[in-house]
Amino acid sequence: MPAWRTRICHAAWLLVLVIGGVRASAQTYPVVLRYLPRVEPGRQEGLAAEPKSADAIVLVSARADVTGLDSLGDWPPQFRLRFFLPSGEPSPDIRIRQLRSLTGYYMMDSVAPPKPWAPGVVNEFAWTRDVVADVYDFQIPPERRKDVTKGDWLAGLGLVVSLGTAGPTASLQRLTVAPAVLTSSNRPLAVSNYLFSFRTNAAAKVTGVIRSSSDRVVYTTPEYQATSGSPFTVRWPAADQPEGWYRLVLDASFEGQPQVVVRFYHKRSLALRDDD
Amino acid sequence: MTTKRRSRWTTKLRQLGFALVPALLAVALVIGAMAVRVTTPVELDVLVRAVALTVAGETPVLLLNNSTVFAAFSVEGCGSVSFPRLTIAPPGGAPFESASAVTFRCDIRIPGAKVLVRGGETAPEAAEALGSIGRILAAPGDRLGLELTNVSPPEIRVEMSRRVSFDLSLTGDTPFDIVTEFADVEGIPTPVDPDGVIEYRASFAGPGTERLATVDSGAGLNMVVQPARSESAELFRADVVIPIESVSLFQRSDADDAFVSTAINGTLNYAGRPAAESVQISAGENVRLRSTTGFRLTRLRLDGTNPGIWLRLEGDAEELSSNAVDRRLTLFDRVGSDRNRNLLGIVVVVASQLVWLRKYLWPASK
Repeated sequence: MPAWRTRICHAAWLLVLVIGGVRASAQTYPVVLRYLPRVEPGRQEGLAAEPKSADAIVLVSARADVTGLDSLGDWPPQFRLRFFLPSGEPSPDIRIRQLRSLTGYYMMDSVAPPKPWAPGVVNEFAWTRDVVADVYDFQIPPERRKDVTKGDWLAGLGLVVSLGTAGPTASLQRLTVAPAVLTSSNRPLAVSNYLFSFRTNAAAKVTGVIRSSSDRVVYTTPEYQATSGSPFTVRWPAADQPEGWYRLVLDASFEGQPQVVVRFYHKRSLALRDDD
Repeated sequence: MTTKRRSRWTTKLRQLGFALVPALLAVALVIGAMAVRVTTPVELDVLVRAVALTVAGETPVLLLNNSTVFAAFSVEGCGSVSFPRLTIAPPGGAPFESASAVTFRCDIRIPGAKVLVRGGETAPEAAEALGSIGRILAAPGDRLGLELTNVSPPEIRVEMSRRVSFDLSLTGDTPFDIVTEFADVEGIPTPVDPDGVIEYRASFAGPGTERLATVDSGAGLNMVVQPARSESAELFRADVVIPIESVSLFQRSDADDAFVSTAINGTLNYAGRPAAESVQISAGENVRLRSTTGFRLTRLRLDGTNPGIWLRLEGDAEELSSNAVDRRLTLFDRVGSDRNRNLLGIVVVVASQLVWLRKYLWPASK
């Protein structure tokens, strides 16, 4: 074969490969390649999903509302995130996100506890105040600190302690959580309410129920007029409820990903063990 | 014989090499100039879902129209929303007349605490005018956020990093709804409410009552406005020229736990260079721009056809990229502009002259 014909053939093959590559990269990639939890050893790995275009409702905070909580008027040396870890559940994954800000979002996750999490008891993760204090000083100039106190700023953090699968892939729509409280002391805390905050990325009417482990409806939420991007909070008075597993199911009035299911364990007292 | 021929070839090659030196230098200069990106005057027209910016300059600016007519209004994390005396009916209760002003205060410790005011007689979709919002000024240094939160009927979120107070002037005699989520009330008995969500039906207590509510935004303003149907296009001022320090076309997505682009479409033009090809911005494209001297926001309009907010940003960009491609002009583009064409011509003439001198006055030794 003459040299010029060989070159033309090579060029044609190159063109086919280039076009094929472009087409392949434009396609939706296989599910197995997605950024997912993997085992042996355990890790999160894969191709990052493209931004979700579908309308969705997601959990942004699961807090236990407690009596006896310290006021946090000034920064304590350490913050303590306290939650109950039911027996037989996977390791907790802590994720803290500032819910709203015009000057960057405070985030904390991928925590490594100094000692292994203890199942069946109340656990705590403690961390130093340094970054929180610096972020507050950066976000809130001195003249605004009367309007936005340190306690207000901390109340604007979304706390999600998920049990099991974590990460961005739909994990905030169908998950098991340990409702948590942010405190600075080791006093026992009695749970009075649960505050589950959600956010939609489209306007919607949202309704829902909380069911016990026997599938009995123990609470029906009011109808929320959710605004895209605004959090709304489901407050469940739980002080008189028996301890155990519950499931909060919310349905939004849009297509896409209109349902969120949050499973959680109600523990009346968040008291630490004596050796903690 | 062979040695002589080789020597002649070597001489020819050297002569050729010397003759090419100016050309090679010119090529190196051009390649260098094409690699160096410079500060670029730009005009970015872009339709976005949301934008965040910092106001610059020395005087406060008005963002919304002087009197924005709304069909529904809500304020999140409010310091207070205060109404004059009202005839008010709590859920499931009979209407009664309040003895004094009725004030709602958001519990800012609960995410999403808000007060919503909307027409009570018509469906929310009807978007009939309920009232107007007083002037809200943004001061230099304020961070502002604008976001389209609903398409039909259109709703806009306006956020501001500073505490502001303003009036809501309510029109007409029709009753309206006040919906509160985690807000305390003063001036009427507090209804028992384990859910935190209460819907009141209200109207002004008498014909002589001033129809003015006062809003204190609390720590920062976060309000959502549904313009009245006829007023959507005039939500923002038509003649904005707002100096801005920084601008962001990104928004954090909870669903993706990432920052995502808010751009829908647009065009990037190079100011003063009509011949330069403009760059099309497509949906979801990551557009970043930064300037130490700031930009000017010269257009702000709610699009009536495509859901989004139109912005025009003008200024000298020191960082300008879309989908990680540097969109600033190169030094070569700037030198080769219409204005500098004569300079380019001089460079070419001088280069040619150098080639000629090399050839005829200092020929390579034979």
